[in-house]
Amino acid sequence: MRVDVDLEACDQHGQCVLAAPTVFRFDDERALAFEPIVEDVDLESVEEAALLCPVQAITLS
Amino acid sequence: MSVTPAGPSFRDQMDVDPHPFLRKVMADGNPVWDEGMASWLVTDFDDCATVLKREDLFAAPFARLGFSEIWGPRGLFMLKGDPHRRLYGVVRRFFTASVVEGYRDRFVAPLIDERIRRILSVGRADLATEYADQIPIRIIAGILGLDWHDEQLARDCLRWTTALQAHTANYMLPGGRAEETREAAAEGVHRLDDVLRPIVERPRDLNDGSYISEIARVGPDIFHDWTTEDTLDQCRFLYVAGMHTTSALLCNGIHLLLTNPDALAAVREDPERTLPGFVEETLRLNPSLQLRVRIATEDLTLGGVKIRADEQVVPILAAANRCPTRYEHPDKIDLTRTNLGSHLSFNAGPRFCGGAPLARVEAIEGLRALIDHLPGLRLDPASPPPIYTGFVQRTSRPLNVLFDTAGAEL
Repeated sequence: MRVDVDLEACDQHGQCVLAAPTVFRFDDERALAFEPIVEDVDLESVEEAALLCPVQAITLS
Repeated sequence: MSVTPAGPSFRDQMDVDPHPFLRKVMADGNPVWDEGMASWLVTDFDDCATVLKREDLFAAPFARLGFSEIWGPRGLFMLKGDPHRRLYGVVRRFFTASVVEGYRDRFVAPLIDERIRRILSVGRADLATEYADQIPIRIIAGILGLDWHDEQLARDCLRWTTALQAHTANYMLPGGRAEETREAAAEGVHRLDDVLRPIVERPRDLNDGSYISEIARVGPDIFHDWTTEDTLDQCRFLYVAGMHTTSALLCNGIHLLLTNPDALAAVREDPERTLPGFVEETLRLNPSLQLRVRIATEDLTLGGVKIRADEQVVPILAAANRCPTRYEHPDKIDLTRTNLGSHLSFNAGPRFCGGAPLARVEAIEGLRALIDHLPGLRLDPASPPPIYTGFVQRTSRPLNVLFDTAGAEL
């Protein structure tokens, strides 16, 4: 699965980092970094991250 | 440390426009200790956002305040961390933008039309009590599978929810006045549960996709000893989350619209294009909840000020949303801002309002119906003007308006 994040929209609420820590993380400046391609094992947590994002910045395809 | 003088405290700004006082607080520093509130007042936008996002450092106070007696031991208020996120995810599924589009046609538009129909021929109304209060209570009924056409049920639920809401707000008031409202709130819980319990306990297919079924289905995955009472608590939660907050948004929007001729002209000219931005400016300028309460979990530094573990920290959204470094001419409605919608009125971080898309649709549709169907809508000059009143929660009331009955139609 492919993960896209609209980094312009991202407001660093941090919900994705908590829901799917293997895919999303904050760098030292609290900017969001993420894995663009995820394995099936992370599917559920990535879907949860997309749902929880307050600004709906995460798209999965 | 900056300390407000012993006399003036933010807590004295009840039922008066808080913004002049808040401008003074912002000029005094950030954060500022307020003796009357026994709290650090945080007014800087980024610091407020940090407090709300970092629940590890600034814990929600609800357990300490005793919220479980009305919102349940496993209500979303009481949970944190993993269980909170999982249950919040279930609730959130019912309020995503695409799901809310379905609500727009099923309940939002028809029940707004019904409220308009009731005032159409009269030429005057208090839009706070006769309109704004009447919309969200019926929408929640629709989502829970209650009959939203039932006028008596809506009136009762509104009365009970108002008692719960008043009690919740009193909890958060510095010094606490919860004793005054405890009895009425307990009665409200009891009566609301009498209505909800038969629906929650009715045999159901847990895969039917309804709110109650989803909660009942997923609850036991989160807590192995999940009960019907826990499911009931999540139903009651919708009333505090979505009732007064949304009716306040609508009231505050009507107030700003009818007292800002330029904004009103722009909205009348092209409601479709301007109303979403106007609703964001309403949220930014006069949020339904002007503050949140948090407790520092450890000794830390915020805005260069040392805060000790266990001290109360109060991010004031009504001030942060007018942060001059973030918003040009912060006290003015500007529908052309590039950062429309970037405010803290729906909270931030783990407790971000899960129902925000629905609140926005209710406000947009509620304002649009007034503009479309009530020609010449204006405040009644013979009535007391609206004030952004209350404390923790603030609503512009009363909203006595006049409109022309000639040409008023659905």
